[in-house]
Amino acid sequence: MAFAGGLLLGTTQAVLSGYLPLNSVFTAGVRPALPFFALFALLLFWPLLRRGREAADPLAGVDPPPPGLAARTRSRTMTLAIRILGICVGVGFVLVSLFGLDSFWLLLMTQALVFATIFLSITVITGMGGQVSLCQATFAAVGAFTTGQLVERFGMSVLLTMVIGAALAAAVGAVLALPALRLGGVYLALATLAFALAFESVLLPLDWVGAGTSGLPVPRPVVGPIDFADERAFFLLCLVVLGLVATFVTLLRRGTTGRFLDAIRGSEPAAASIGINPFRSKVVAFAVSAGIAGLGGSLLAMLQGQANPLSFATFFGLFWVVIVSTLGTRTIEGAVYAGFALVLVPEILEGIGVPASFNFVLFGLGALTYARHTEGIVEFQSRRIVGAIDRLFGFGGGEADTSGGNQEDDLVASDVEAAVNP
Amino acid sequence: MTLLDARSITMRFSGIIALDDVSITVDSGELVGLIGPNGAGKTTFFNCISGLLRPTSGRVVFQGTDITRMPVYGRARKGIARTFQRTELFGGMTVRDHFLVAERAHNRRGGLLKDVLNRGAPDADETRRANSTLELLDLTGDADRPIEALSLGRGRLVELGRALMTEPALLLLDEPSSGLDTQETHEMGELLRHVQREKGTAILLVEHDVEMVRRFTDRLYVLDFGTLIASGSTESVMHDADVQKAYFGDLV
Repeated sequence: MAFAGGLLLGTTQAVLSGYLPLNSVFTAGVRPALPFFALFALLLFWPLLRRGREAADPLAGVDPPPPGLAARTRSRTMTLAIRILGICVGVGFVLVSLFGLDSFWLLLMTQALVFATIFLSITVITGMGGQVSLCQATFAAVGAFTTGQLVERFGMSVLLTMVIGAALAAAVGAVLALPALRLGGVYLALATLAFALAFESVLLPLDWVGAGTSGLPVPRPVVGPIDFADERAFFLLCLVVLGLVATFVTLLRRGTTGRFLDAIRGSEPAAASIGINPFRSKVVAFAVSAGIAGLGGSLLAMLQGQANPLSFATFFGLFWVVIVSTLGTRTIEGAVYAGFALVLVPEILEGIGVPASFNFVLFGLGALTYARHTEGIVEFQSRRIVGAIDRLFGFGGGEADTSGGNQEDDLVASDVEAAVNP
Repeated sequence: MTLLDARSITMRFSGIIALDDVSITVDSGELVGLIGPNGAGKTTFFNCISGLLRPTSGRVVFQGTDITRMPVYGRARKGIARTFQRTELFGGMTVRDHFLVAERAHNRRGGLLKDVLNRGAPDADETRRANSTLELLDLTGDADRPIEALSLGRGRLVELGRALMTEPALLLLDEPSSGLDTQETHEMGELLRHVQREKGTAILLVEHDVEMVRRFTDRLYVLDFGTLIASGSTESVMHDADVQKAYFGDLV
């Protein structure tokens, strides 16, 4: 079967190269991308893949849901203490960044904020929606290149094009989700990866999208007297955008959207049985996530002064997913830490003289950790630390009651213990 | 009045016939039992009614509308609620959250825009309704505990409450007594009677516990190897020779 498929692909590629016009950009893109199209189409239309999932027991294969968020298990005093600490650290960070750092480090900090914004898209799709998408870099690219093209061709205001770019990315996300969500699980991840690779090799080289490998110039916005070409002003802009997106995500998570997604994550058949349309909820999650990625992509293009296809390579997109998953997809903090980790870890490694290739070792280790603690390191550690402090000071009190815990793993058992200590 | 009319439901899984020409009706406000040995097809039948499975042939008519091709959530909005044999709860959520999310799914007052305007949180009316269901099921003490901390019996009550929050016309209960002790089983039965009488909810009950079926159902259907072998009033079916045979073999 695989052999026949390969043969067919090869023949089609050869035939196409004979018949398509030789010098068009389209031809140059289509040929290498053919395998990805084939993979995408195969995933969508291969009946066995779908039938396999609706075996006799529709409930089989429903994953046990992840344990609850650490925030829920904290006592009130703890929450207050953590909040005050968080505000102090945040304000301190902003002040130090603005007045204490040279322009190189300020640029890095700005970059971290931009990536944190993009990573919130992974918080939405993976942390809230429970789906793995491997094309977040593509959504970011859609935002960045929309901004680049609109500014270049129509001379529109950069901030306006940023919003249009986000909207377009959201639309692309929704359209992609419509067929791809019928798959779910690992097949969905593969389909998004195929889409990302096809976009990269077919659409990006086109003049009206990515304009080759040179990239499109993207200027910084100017609003009234404020020119965001100034690094400090742009840092503040990125901070504001991150704040707005984080607020948006928090509101969604607390509201109907987030609670429906939580329910679907917990048990899709049960969620449907009370009248929730799981498909619709997931499409919304995809669109929102793609929109956030698009917004962040525009911001990244502004930061770099150009929308460069290299910044949005599919491979980076994979890197992003792993780094966010490692640090925590379920919380805003997770995405923020991931943004800083992405930018700062290579610098720190270089600073202490570790070769750059060590990054990939860390990446691998991160993926391993993810396999053990699917909720992410931040989530896991904060649960542990909060639990320990609560016990130490007797904030929580109360006996551990694990009567309902049917998990054998002692890690999970300790989570249950933390969860029932209100 | 006929509420649910399942006509000639047949369900095949790659050669195995799980249900063969099964027809069942439930009237409004009735408490009907569906019994049969393990593997008789009871849960498969439930899945065909609630929409998790689409029958190979046959029609499901609910309140006069053909719902055979309607998705699960559509049937739920029309008034079919269910519980699961292996409890399907929303991990990480508290008991109260379960009821609130079901209430929101039922009244459909939520939306992306409302979330963004910070109007996504449960309002006073929703909270009050969740509280009254908590009280009905005696779950008030556990309301704010995460679902993982609850025993199986309490979990089954949460599933029942979640289903009740959608104000169903028909409640499908898949072995609500399994994993419960005698006392809990009896309380569950009384509770179902109460719900049926007070709210006029029709209940189709899949059950293993013969005692519970005998005490609390008006009518019975008996499935064996995917076919209906008996139906009628609970009293008469219980004495039926075929039923005895299906349950106890040829020894009796």
